[in-house]
Amino acid sequence: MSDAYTLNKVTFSYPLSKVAAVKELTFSVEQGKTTVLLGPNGAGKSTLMDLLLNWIKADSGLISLYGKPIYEYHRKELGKIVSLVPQKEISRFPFTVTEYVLFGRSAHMGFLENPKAKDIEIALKTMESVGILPIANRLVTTLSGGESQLLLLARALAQQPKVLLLDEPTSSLDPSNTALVVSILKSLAKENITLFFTTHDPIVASECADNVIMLRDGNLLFSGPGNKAFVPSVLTDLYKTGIDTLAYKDKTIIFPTF
Amino acid sequence: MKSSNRALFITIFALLVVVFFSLGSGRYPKGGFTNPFGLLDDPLFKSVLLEVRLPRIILALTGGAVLATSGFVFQMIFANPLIEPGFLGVSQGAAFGAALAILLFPFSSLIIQLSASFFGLLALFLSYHLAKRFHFGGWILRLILSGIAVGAIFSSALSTIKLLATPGSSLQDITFWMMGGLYNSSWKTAWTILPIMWASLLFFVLLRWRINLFSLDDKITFSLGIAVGKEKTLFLIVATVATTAFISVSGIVGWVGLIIPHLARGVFGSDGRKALPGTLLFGSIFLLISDTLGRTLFSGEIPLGVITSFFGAVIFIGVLSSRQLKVKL
Repeated sequence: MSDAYTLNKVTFSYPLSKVAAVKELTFSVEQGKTTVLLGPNGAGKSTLMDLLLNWIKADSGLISLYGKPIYEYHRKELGKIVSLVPQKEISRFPFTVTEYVLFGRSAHMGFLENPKAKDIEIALKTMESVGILPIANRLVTTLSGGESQLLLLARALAQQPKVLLLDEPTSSLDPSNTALVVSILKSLAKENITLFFTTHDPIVASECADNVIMLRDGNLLFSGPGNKAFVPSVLTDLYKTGIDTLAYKDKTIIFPTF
Repeated sequence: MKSSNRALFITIFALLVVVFFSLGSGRYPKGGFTNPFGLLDDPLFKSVLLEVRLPRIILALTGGAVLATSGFVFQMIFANPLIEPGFLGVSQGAAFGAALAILLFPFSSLIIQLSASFFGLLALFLSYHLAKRFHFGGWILRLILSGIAVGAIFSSALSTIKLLATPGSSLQDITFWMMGGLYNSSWKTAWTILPIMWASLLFFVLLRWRINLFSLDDKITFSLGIAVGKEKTLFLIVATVATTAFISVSGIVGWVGLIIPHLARGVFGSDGRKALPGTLLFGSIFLLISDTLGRTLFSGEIPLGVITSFFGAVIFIGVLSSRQLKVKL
């Protein structure tokens, strides 16, 4: 099995902060698998996502992407490999859905280029794959929470990435949209796309995860396959509150024991 | 034909009509209606048309395009539909820079231009960093407030320069120039700024799609594979240099960069592929109409800045009152 990301003793502190946001993280993200990042609020999940995006640079340690240090990638080159689905995004200008998804093509275009027929075709195809083709001409400023999430997913997919980073992809969604996003993520996993996402939703985590990374106070608490992660002792340790699991059909149900 | 293409076509046609009327209106040697075909034989008429009217019209068209597209670029880059270069102190900085140069080096238009550009960029830099230091309000509000403060500082510095200037020579120059206008246009002044303005317009038209990307959060634009800091800086420098070049000749001509992009987005949508060329053409039409009105309405000239401010403010009130605009301060 090859790895998409390999992290070796990665440490990062924000300027003016005495405490490191993440400390000596060492783990790998398997190519073509779904890795879920778990941790309580303030554990360093967002920092880790920013590091994987190369938006911030590690103070020490090395992050490699497909065997090459991430800082050696040209910005545009990286944009063709890794794409980001942010938790939410506000556009202050009323672009149409199609125009917005087309932004995802920029890494594949030259500085002076405008989107070509091929780019539009790819944008429309990704819109179809997440089911937002019917709202292609709506303005992004008028979309519901669920539609917005699918829009951001479509734009990230228009980048044709090998690795998709998602920040809380289901946090603002109702159950039916959550189910829709989960089913899309699972179908992407089958297409050999590496998925790496944060979530606070244990059901989404256990449903999607091949592998799990757990962070607490910037430290790596656990790195391993999902079936070893979703056990009461590990989860209780992570969230510092009583958590139990229950086997139901082929699923693991995770719940806090208040 | 797609509706936005039709709108573009109609706009170009409107532009030609305005140019035609602007060329024809104003004082010519012979009164009343004259046979247009005989006119070109008249040397005086020919010289008014080709040496006075034509450079002024070309300057107004280009200047309107520059002010409007720079406003469009600023709005995209600061993800803020409520700003234009003038709101970030750029115009006031440029005005100060130009006045300073008029005072110290009265005869060098190149130095006046360079000084206007330098202080325009300086004002932009100050506004941006001041806005980052404010600890209250959203980004849009902070940027507008810091722009007002920086603009006010340069305005007061400008007034001080007026006090220092010699009455009878440089004071008059500065005062006339500050009111804003193209009344002393000639080919000589036009050619000092036209090349750089045309180059900037070409730059923006070529990059009309890419400019969209900068309206997103920086991290998002970065994740799309764009070196966001470098490219934003490049766009801002080009927009500021073009704007200050025009200001160095015309004086402060406000509001164009704020309202014209709104009108163009209303017609062509938000995508820069259509909205930017639309903004460019609307800006040209707006400034040429304003300038033509300014020189023909009364026997004396109304300064261009006065006219654009009046129309600009009226349209701005209309835009702010419309339900389309959704801005979170």
